[in-house]
Amino acid sequence: MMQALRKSVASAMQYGFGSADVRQAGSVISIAERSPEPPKVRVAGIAQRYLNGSKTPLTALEDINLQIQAGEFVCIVGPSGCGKSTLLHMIAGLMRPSEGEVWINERRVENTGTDRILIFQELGLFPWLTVAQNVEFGMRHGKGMEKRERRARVAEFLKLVHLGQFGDSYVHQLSGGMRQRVALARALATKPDVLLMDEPFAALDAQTRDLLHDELEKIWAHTGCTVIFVTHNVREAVRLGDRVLVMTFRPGRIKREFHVELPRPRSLEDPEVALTARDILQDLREEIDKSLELEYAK
Amino acid sequence: MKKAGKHIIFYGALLGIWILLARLRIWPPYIFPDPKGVMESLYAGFSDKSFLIAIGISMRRMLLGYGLSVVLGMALGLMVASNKFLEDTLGGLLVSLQSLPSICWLPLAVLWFGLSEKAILFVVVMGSLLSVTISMETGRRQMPKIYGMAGRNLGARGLRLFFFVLLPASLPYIVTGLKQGWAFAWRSLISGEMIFVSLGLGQLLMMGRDLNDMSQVIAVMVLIVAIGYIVDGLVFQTIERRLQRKWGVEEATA
Repeated sequence: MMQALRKSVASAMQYGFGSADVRQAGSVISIAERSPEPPKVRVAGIAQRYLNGSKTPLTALEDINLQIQAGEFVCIVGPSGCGKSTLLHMIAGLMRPSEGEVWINERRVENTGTDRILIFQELGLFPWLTVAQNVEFGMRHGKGMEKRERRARVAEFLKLVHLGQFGDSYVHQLSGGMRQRVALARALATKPDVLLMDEPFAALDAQTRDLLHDELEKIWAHTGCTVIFVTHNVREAVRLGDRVLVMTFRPGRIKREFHVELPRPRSLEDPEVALTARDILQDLREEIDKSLELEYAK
Repeated sequence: MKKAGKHIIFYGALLGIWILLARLRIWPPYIFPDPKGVMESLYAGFSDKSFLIAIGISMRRMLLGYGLSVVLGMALGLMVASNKFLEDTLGGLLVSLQSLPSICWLPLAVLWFGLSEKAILFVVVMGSLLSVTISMETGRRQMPKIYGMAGRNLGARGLRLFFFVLLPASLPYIVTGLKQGWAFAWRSLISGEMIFVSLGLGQLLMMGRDLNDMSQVIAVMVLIVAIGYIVDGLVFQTIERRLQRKWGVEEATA
């Protein structure tokens, strides 16, 4: 009882000076001064432990505190296995953390909801539905919108991702980049406040990926939604993000955060992008080395 | 065209051998009828409507019994797949029960339900329930988890998640089981009707025996095979073809 109380006090304190930049205690007020609007996404003291059969539990995530303002584009980079996907699943409400809470719009996340949509790495498009029906799915089964409104919005969003002609196609008939666009349209059609993206462009060729970066940036500017984008590609993170968070490997923590203040639109080839990416990569390298060491030590 | 040609040659030869054996009169016609006698029996059966009535009754029992076992089997299969305890216990029992021929349930069914329609339905359900359950259970587990997560992520819950995501996502994995379930149900029904005389195709078969009318026996057997073939072709192959068109061939047959 006492322990639980102490824990909740601790996490409440953590969230106060958790994220924007590392400050000393007592910064609850100063944060409030700096940003009068409440954060869109607030991750408070999240930890995830697996028992895994052994006596000492494996800590996948520890002490994750984040505040993300409305309209921000935040990228999370880290070595594979650092728990960045897990974190996204928790924000999406697909998974419950062992400790801590996620708040969206000042409401605690208990389950999935159409205010935040995750685009999975493997997309998870429904092969038994046409492209248009895929895009319609969240509006129909999640939000229960009327048919006429749904149809109009399907057309609108298919046009937005340049797939207006492909509404009646099935997923297997499309190329990788097109499938990616369907997933984007399906997520955007519910008009989520927060778009969560889990290494969405990892499997694409370079040209297609460049193109989708441009499109994603335009759509983000156009809709004003908040984006949390997980990737292992640091340049991609610098290309897209307002902020880049670097995560550590086992336990996954937020090691550092970088504010990217380069003018938009950026390109992967920009020297400034490369330079910033190099800084971040230096930080990340330690973690990657650590993860490799652990991997090969087995 | 090539396939059709093969079929014509094969069935032509089969028919030829049959006619030849009948002509040789090794056995008397009431034991070994010729195709003409069987055709006459078929014609007589359809013109006095006795075959149509029997088909109607048998098909109604099939639809009821098979429909019931599909619904029950899917629910049971999902339950077993989603619960570790049930999987370890009931899962094994289901597999071992499958070795029990469904007609073995008839004595029990007769004692429970009497000589009634319910008893026959029970045998049909027991005949196909297990294969539907087992295929649903394995289908649920083989089905990529991503679809369920994507459905939840887009806000679908509960029954909506089941009917609009989990069910269609598992269909390619369970369609073979559904087909097998239908075949088992069909066999159970005919054997049930043969033993427990109460109209239907099975009884017609036994009537042929009682009247020493071998032509009718063979005519009814031809009917039973033909109906099985037609349902397979019309229903299940259509489903399979549609699945392949939607999912793409590799994924649907994987």
